[in-house]
Amino acid sequence: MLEIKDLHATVDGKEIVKGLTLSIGAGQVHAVMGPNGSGKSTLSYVLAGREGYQVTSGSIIYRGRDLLALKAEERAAQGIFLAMQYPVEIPGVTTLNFLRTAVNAQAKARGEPQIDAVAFLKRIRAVAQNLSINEDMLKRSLNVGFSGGEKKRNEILQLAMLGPSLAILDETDSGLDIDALKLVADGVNDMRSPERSFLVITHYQRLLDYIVPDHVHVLSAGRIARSGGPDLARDLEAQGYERVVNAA
Amino acid sequence: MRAEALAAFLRQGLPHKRLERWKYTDFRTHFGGGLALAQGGEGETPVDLFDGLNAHRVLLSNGAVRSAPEPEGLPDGVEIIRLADALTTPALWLKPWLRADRSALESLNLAFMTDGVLIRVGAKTRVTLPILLHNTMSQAGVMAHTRSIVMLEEGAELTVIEIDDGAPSSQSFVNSVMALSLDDGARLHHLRLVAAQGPSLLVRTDQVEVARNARYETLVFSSGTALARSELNVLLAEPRSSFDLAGAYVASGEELNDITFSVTHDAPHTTSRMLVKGVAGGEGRATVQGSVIVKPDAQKSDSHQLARGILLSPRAEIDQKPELEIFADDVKCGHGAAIGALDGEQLFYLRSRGIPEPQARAVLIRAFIGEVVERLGTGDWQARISAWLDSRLAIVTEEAA
Repeated sequence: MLEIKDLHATVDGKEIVKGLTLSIGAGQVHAVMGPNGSGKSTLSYVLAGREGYQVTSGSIIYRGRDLLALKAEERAAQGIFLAMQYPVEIPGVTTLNFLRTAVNAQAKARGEPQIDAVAFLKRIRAVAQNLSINEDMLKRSLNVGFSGGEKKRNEILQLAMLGPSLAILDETDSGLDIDALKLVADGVNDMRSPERSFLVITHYQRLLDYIVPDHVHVLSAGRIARSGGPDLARDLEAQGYERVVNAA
Repeated sequence: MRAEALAAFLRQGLPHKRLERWKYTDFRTHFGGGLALAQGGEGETPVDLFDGLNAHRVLLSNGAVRSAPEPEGLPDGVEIIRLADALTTPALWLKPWLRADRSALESLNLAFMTDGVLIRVGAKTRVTLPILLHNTMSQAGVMAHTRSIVMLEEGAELTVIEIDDGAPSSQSFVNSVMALSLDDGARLHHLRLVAAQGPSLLVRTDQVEVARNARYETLVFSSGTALARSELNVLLAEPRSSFDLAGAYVASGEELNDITFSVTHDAPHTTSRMLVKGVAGGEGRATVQGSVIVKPDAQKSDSHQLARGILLSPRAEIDQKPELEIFADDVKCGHGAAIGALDGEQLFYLRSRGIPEPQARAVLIRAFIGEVVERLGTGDWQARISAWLDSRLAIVTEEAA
């Protein structure tokens, strides 16, 4: 699904990712953990194609294609989705209209037919209900006046509606209470399938109790310092990043 | 009267940028000169954006009224008279409306005015259908000075929709003046669409007087012509009168859209609200000037103005200038102004969901203007204006891509 090889990336001329190599197979869930400033969010923005995140060397091959040659919107249409740490507020654009526009734009890019308005509404209502998102929220301006938890649930709603092949969750657990965390994790777990891969970026092991990963990686100073199974996350929680990284 | 007006105009000359109110819209440099007086319309009846809309229609073509409703077609209490007819037998009541002591362009208008309409709505009359004033300029190399008057008597209610259109091949100048008066408790909903295209200059000057408990609401949309200025002067003359303006402009190519207003609170408990938003792309420019004056007697006045603009290209320009002059001490007056580019984070967010960049820009621009468009409410003519605005936004968005 995704092959990252010796990736180097800079932000504002400063190198943040320094030789990162990571391979994610179809249907797998990979967790990337690491302290602040280790390059977690930079990795997610590089994958999503945000401007200002400059890849200086290395390669990213996604489903056999050079991902770095694609614009952000093309990557989305090819099935990459980034659930953002800080979802952006967009006054004047309702969640409903935004998502219908996005679903149709992706369909168009893939040469698929546009979704019928009634069918879309039916589907989004069903998905929203599972995430405890009420109708009123769908009709409000995107993320405007939403609580932290509502914003994150809205990200998962988008994830479910867009049905990507590779979903990147950038600290989706931050700012969530335990109920909201469970709701979000259930939403993600419902989406797990042999065709869909996940890259879960988090500070804490807590989220990984609910979304159980196949592989855990520790990111330190812009590269992967250690990889292991779900147990590695528990070791980190118990011993702290420093000891685990130094033991590597 | 005309001679006096011409003399007043000649003393002042064409407006230029050394005048505070024309600082950002240098009319003199835009005006090519050598224009003859327009001689009225001919040929086929032009089709406007509101074709087929159920309304009382007045068509002003190249400076002359071409058609207006017959008296029997109007509801009781509503009168529409041609100015050209009224001027042949000038009545005493007309005199105060034809003063030469205002701005240079108003004096020029008075000196050369050809036609226009007088609309009077009698006391307690609620007019259900809108009155549609279609002012079209198709001739090139001419100028048209039209003047209209709208009078609402006590408790009257009316919606006026105005559209300026036409696309002359070379410069023309439309100089329209409108006087509006609202008696006690009257309500006027005034919608103006400045939708002319091409190299023309279009200046509209309104003088509005609002009496006790009366409310004047206006919406202005401006886009498409070389220079379009909508100037609005409102006097809140008596207690509890109110004024509400919402305006939007879309400046593409090399056009200049100007929305200038001044509100005078001359009585206690008067309220004014002004919101103007717009975008400028290409080498487009916009001017938004708002002046609020609160006179000493106007205690408990409440005023707020907000102007916001988005620049879509490095060569576009938006000038915003809010002004406050307050002579009373117990008032609430606020103002805000901001100009910026499209938000990069918002743009990335939309693109990361698969919305291509040009479309993402269009979505954000439409959302920004949306706050003004919402004021239209829903209905047939509202939908037409909204669609027209979308077509103008499509042009400026493509230009920016």
